[in-house]
Amino acid sequence: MPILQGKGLTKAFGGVEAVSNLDFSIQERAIVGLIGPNGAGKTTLFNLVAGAFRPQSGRIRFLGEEIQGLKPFEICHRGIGRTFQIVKPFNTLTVLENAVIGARFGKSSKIFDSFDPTPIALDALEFVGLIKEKDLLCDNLNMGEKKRVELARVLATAPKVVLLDEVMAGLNPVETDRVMSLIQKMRDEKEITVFMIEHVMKAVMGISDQVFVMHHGEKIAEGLPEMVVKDQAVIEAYLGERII
Amino acid sequence: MKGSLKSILLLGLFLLLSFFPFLFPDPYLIHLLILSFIFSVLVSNWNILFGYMGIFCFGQQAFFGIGAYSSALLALKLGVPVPLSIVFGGFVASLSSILIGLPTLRLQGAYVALVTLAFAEVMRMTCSNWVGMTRGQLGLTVTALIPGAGRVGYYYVAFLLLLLSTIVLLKVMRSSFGYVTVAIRESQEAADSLGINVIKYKISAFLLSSFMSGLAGALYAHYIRILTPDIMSLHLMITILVMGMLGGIGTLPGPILGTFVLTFLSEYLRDFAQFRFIIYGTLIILAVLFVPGGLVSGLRSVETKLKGKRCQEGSS
Repeated sequence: MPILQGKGLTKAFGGVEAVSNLDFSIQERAIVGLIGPNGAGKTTLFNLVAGAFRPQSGRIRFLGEEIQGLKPFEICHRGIGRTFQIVKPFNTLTVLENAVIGARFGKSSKIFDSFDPTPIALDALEFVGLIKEKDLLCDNLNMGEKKRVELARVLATAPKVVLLDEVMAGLNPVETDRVMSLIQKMRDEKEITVFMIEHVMKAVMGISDQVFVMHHGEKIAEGLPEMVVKDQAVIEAYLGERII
Repeated sequence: MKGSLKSILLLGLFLLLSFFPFLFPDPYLIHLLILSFIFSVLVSNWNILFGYMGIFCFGQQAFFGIGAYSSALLALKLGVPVPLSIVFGGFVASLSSILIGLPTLRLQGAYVALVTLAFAEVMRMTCSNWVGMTRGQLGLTVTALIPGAGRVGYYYVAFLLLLLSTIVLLKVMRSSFGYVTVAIRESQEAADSLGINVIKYKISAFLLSSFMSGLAGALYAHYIRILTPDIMSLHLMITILVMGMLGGIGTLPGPILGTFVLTFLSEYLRDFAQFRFIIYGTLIILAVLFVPGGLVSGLRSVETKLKGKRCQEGSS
């Protein structure tokens, strides 16, 4: 049974359907890539799943329960974490404090709670390799490190599924390799299912088990990465139609 | 070493303020200190919303005024003992903050400022026009805290209130609530995605901030003993803003420092009373330009510079 499933999802902004009657399903412990030209509706789909937007129609099932219409923090408590296309670290807090927030609130938003979230946060920092930087303010980190802070923060919430929105954008090749192996490690060691929007083809081809392609709010192809990139509809979506 | 120096200084300050009325029985100085204590509570608690959470609340004067009027009226009309009515004033202010908190939850930035400002003006106009209850611009003559209480009595009550407020803020801001407020200020979306119920935390911050502000307002009313709707005027809000910005928003000591400096400064600038707001405006501009983090950040950078020098001297 798939861990995450969407049926007939639609979300329009004004007259434009950013996501249009879309179905998808993701198997547990898979790494699924989501690609498509700019404006295809990929981030909107993530916002629907993560609760930032409410779908106008359609259903989202996570672990067999319907979750559409829940608030983002409730979705997080259920076990779906996300990162943002434009990183949003808490700049005036330290790296450790960023991770502590994920650990402390990932499963409950209670104001008074006696458990100590620090060990979980430290684990997450260890996992992404930021333990040495734990006392630095996020403001002082470079892009690659900020992206890993976001990963650590999400991991600290103990998610079952993570939605990664272009975590590799803007990284140099070394950092890209590092994040790629991190994503695989998340799946292998923490049994996390990964759903990722990605433009870096090396990453998409290298680590995804399955790829979805979106265009104009619809899913135009899905399958193994090497199959998808040969798909005629996909090539047309990216490059336009062949004229001769 | 540095930490112990700081705690010695703080302890000294605490002892000085604890025995001040006996060491320096100057009623005018004591009066200024009472005002500083009361306004420190107000500015510190506004700072939770504005400085820590990034909610542009420009209606804090309403909480101060609502606390003042509720307590004064309770004591006057129903004969409730004043200490009790002050606490009640805090609760009424807290309730009113739900009224103003809820509509601002879905707003951002400048819109929050407009709504909260409008709310305070509505409250001021209500007090001004509900003559049967508040005597409007004629003002209420407010009951004393305790019959026959002298200035020194008010001094200690105000001092205690500031201590209470500071201890509560220290506790709260060093708990996970403190992280949450900063997280919400930095990115509400990210905070939400990490499992923080942003609305719950914002309402809690409003409740706490307005409760303390209401207590401060109530104590102020029973101290000054004349209460007019002007207590909720925009002038007070501007004063809060200047005090906060001058001392350093988003820090715990900043608002207290700013309040003390400005209270004493404005008393010594009394001769220029008509230019007061020109001076305030200039102060804000100067603070924002040269010490954007306020006096507290200025002091901190001096401290690090001194430390740097000491290290250099030590090594050479």
